[in-house]
Amino acid sequence: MPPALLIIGKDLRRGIRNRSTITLAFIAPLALGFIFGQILGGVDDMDERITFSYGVVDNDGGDLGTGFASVLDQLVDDGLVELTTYTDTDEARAAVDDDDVSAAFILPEGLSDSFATASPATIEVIGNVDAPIATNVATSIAETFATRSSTAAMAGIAAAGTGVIPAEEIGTVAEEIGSSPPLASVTTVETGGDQLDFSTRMVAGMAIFFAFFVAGAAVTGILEERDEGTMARLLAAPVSRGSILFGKVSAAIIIGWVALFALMVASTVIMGADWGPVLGVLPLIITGVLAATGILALVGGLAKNAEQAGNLQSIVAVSMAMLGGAFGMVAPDPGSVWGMIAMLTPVHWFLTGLDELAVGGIAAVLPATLAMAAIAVVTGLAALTFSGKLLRP
Amino acid sequence: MGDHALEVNNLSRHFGELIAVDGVSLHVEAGETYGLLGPNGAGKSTAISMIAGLLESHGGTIRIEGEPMTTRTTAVRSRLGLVPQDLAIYPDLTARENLRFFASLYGMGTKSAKARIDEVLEVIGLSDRADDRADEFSGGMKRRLNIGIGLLHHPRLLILDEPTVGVDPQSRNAILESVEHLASEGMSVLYTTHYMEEAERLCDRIGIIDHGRLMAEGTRRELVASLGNQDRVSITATGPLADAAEAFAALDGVAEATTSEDTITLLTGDATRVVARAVETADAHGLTVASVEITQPDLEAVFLHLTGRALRD
Ligand SMILES: Nc1ncnc2c1ncn2[C@@H]1O[C@H](COP(=O)(O)OP(=O)(O)OP(=O)(O)O)[C@@H](O)[C@H]1O
Ligand SMILES: [Mg+2]
Repeated sequence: MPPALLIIGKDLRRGIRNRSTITLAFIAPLALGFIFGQILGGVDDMDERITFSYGVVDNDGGDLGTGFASVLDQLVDDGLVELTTYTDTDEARAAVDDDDVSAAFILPEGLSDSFATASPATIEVIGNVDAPIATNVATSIAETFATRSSTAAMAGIAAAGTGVIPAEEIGTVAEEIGSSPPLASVTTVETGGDQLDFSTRMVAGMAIFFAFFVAGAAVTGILEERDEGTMARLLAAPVSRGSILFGKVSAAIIIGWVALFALMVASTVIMGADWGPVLGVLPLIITGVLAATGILALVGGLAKNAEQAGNLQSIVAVSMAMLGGAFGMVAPDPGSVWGMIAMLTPVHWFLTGLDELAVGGIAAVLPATLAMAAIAVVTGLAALTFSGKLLRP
Repeated sequence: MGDHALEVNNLSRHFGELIAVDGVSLHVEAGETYGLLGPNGAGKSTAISMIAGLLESHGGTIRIEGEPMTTRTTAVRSRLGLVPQDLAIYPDLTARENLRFFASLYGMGTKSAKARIDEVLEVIGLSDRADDRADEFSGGMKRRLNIGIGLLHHPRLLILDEPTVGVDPQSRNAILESVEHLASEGMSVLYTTHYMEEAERLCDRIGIIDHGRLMAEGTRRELVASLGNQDRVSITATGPLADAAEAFAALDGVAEATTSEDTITLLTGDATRVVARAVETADAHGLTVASVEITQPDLEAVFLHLTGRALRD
């Protein structure tokens, strides 16, 4: 078997084994898209909605605890969640055991402090084994909040470094960013009749947003091999450097493709989303992942290690997703500077392509496909200049 | 044929201002175990990285069985097995999966790989843990797996870069035994270490490296002999020691004799040749010998002599 294929096979095996890959590529975007779609979407079919009943214990009492509470409050306002507050973990655990609630969130002491320094803290979810779906949704809510808050905290720390925000306010900023997109988007989003339907747009936006994280593995995967020392072995094997590079990058791209495709299928089956004809969606998925890979390879190539690359990539992914309209925000005016920058993001083209597909049929995805292919080629070629620097023991 | 397993000529590499490897020339004969002995930062790993084709050299040539090795050549790499100093295994794969992946990279067929993997698992003593993930292993077990991957494909030349660092004595002994075993099967081995006991035990020839330069090279015997009259015979005795001093100094093969209150110390090129006559001489001068001690210099002494520093600080 060609060495590149062997490397792809190995990376896919590790990707499947590694639960965080599946969470990032599949579960998180699905759950987020679902929740955002529910919160922001059709007010008409209120009674068909499922209501989950959850408990919460706030041992933190800080900014982040408040931020998380406001996220939950919003879900309550939308009738998606019934919430009971408990004073301590034991009480919550008993409530879960007695089936009073399906799951409970335990915010640990010091949660806010840990985010202010961008070091990991864990929001614990106690779930009832008899309510696996409710528990899964609860886990996703907690994970999503944690991911967004830490990304926001990182952005906050970056901003503090430039003096835009004083360091002591990072926690507050993280809380605001962590909880604000739904609020902001409720007021700004309108659903147009000649576009993709709203919840599909939410899921598709989340899908391409998370595809960025998966595609980032093209470079972080190489840096990880270096951190793990295995790059030395790959380089020592009778395999060309080109094969190693091709194998590593392809694995990330394939995982991205599979994840996006699976998200399309899952959201269609589970939520009744309508992405449009598969033949029209496929070219968008293929080029969208390629473009995301190229951009993140370029960004990641600047980093020294996997962790640094991951941080840089998160910042770029979040910015592009916001600009491109992945969180249900209104796209900037195409004539403005922001509008022009948005045109450089695959997120914008991916969603535009789906919009065009909904209106104009399969051929209508061509401009978006070409735009993303062009982004992929330009950034990919530029990123290749880093390959010599990356392929080192 | 007649090519050496490895031939390195005038190999150099710098990092910025720092010269990590400075004109190193050495060769490993087919079937030989060659030890590269040097302290931290001597340039061992940098030299190894160039020999294995991972790092570009800034001068010099490398030949594996006569074939040139650079960072761009691929075919010749299959003759090499590398055990890097830092662990190089996938933590989320099992021992067997790690071995299987690298076997396939070296072009081994599924069938021959399967048999060979079982064999290697046996050699590194991980047969019963083969299907456990590497991140569940102890430090010593990870080290052993690290070595196993290097010798999977029956390399003609096995390069081990300090494979016993951070390993308990028992695992360490197991590692040394498997290297001895491989050498006895005819594999050529290049072994770096800063433990002189390992170099003395395993290696047919030893190169001493410091500050990127190969300071001396030879068998252990040759290296020690290069120090000259460095065997030391210490005779502890009672009686008129001072009166006998001259007679000891006059003995054939004795370079120097010093006496203290109860000990006579002789420096000689060959202690075994001198010791019997020294005892005779003591007897003849009416001394009562309490004990005789012979100390031969070791590689540590050679290193000290060459560099003015101890091997380990
Ligand atoms: N990538 C690098 N960049 C800069 N300097 C380096 C690099 N690799 C090695 N060096 C330097 O080159 C010198 C030789 O290092 P090397 O790792 O070869 O030593 P070593 O003999 O293997 O030491 P040890 O016994 O500690 O493993 C050291 O001074 C080291 O700091
Ligand atoms: Mg070293």
